Amino acid sequence: MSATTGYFVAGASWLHRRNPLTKLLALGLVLLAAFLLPPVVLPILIAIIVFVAWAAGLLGPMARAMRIPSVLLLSILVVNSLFFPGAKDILVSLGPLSISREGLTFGLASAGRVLVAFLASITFLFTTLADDLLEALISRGASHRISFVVLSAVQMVPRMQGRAGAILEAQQARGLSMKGSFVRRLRKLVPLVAPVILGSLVDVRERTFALEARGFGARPGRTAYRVVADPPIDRWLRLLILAGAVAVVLFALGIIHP
Amino acid sequence: MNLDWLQVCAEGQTTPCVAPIQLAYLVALLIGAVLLVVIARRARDLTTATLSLMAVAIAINIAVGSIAVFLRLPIYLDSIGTVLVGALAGPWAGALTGILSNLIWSILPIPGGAGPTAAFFAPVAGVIGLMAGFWANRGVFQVRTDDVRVGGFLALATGILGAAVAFLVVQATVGIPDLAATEPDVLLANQTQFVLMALGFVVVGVIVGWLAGRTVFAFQGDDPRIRPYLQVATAIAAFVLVFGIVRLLFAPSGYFSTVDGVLDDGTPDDFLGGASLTGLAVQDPAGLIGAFVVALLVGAGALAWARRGDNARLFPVWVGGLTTGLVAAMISAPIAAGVFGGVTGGGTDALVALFRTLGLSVFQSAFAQGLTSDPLDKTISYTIVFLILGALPITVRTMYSRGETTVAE
Repeated sequence: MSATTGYFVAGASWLHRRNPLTKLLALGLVLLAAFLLPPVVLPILIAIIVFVAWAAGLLGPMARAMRIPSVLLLSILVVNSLFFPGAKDILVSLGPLSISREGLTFGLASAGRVLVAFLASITFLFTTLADDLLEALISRGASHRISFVVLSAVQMVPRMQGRAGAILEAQQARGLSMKGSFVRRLRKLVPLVAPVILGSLVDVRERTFALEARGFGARPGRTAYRVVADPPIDRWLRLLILAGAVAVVLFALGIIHP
Repeated sequence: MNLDWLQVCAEGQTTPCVAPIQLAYLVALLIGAVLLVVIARRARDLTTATLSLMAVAIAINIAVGSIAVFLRLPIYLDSIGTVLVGALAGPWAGALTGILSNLIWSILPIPGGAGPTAAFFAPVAGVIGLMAGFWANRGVFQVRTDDVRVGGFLALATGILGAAVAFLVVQATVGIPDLAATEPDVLLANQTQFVLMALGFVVVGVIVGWLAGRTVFAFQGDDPRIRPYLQVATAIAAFVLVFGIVRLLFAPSGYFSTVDGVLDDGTPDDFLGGASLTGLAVQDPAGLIGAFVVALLVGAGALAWARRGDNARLFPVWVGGLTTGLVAAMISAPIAAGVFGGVTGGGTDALVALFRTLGLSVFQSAFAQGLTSDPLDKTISYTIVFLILGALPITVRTMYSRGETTVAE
């Protein structure tokens, strides 16, 4: 998993071929449904997402990615079921701690929402390259300047990690030891972090001149190097997704009933 | 068209209504969308220098923030870049940096990173950037200890102090209405009364601050009073802060008095294995004197520190960091409670669990955690940005509209 391509899994499945905007809207619809509809729909949403991932051949990467939210999901469940304010209905008592029904219900609903949000976003990220998404957004009138910020920030993080590693080695060569108590190590962060941050800020000047010299701020329209496919079926899919989003909002407000 | 359903649900209501949490999600979504559109439109005027600074700032936010998550610190440290951009390039660039940081953080596979949780807090990061730009405009990162604008910060601090004194006076005389009342009518009446009182405190604070700014702190030119006033203000701020914390913990009805091994209904408390810490709740007047002496010592230390060199110029920086932290806590608490049930998988969860054992609700625990972490976190971030700005080469700083005036030499 390289940091510049993020979570992207190379492939040519039907989901990879959809326009990034279609997938972005679908992600929005899933999030809307997860947070606006009652928790009963959460298992259904999870089943749908897993089915989509299976159909696109992404079950393996998805299972491996589950270790990312595992700590968060576990914290939500444990903290809520053990420490729920005003809980009366105790299910199990484990020594000084006890699990309450109210806490477990609340924790399951919260963890379910976060799980749906994670699964949906990870499926989106598996099949969409940030470059393609931004190119699609630019062709819809988004600012190319903001897209530049996003893309260069994404590429900057691994570069900064590399620079931090180099500085760590340089300081260790000068006798900096990274052993000792927690507070001690925290204090030793200063000679490591300060050169990383100041060095990157000084680089900003060079980068600005390089960009300006290549006409970044020029006014006339520009052509795209990447061309993102937008099959006709995507148009219909987007309409369908928007209609679904309206239905979810109306249902959540209580205007329509099933 | 029948609009009867358009009301927030009461407890156990069966007729169609809007559940408060759903309404909150929708309102938050709407505000977020409007904010994003406004900021995106503003971003068209940003210069190339600002844009390349924003990219670096986002990387700094994510890199330092993920270290804080990795070390399980009870603070975030994920807004240093946001504050930096706000200070150098203005509020809108700062807001955009904050929002993009959190969105990008959630799509990057960084070890020790927070994953998709960061995206939900994007509005908070945006507001932090806005406030950083606002404070930089007011000269937080610029004033020297003999600047006339110090008067404004002193007046603001006096206003906050005035509101706090009004609160204490009302608490000691009339009393704060009971917000834990079980009777719905009584509860509603108490809540209304509390909101009115809170508004009154704010009004008192504003009036006190305005009067102080117009009279005592209306400095002109090279007023010799500015420097000593600022040093004394730093000492008083340290005194009030320490006195407040000590009283919160050790007062007869403070935190330690509630940890007596027994719950309110008489059953044994499981917290800390039922240990009783009431011995730490020192009785008055000894406790009062003790807290006073400790705070006085810290205040004297702060005064000695502030008198050395230009140290006192950090006071405005801290006013900015503290107020930004308070606002951030107010916005992030509903998000943390509504989306994650108050638990976000970081080191701050220990605080959430602690506040829940004290009997606070899900929302109150999230808010109390925010009130503990955010002001501290933002004060540290503002201080770091102040130091970075001082260390930044002038050739880099002068590329930005505000850079030249940001840090006085």
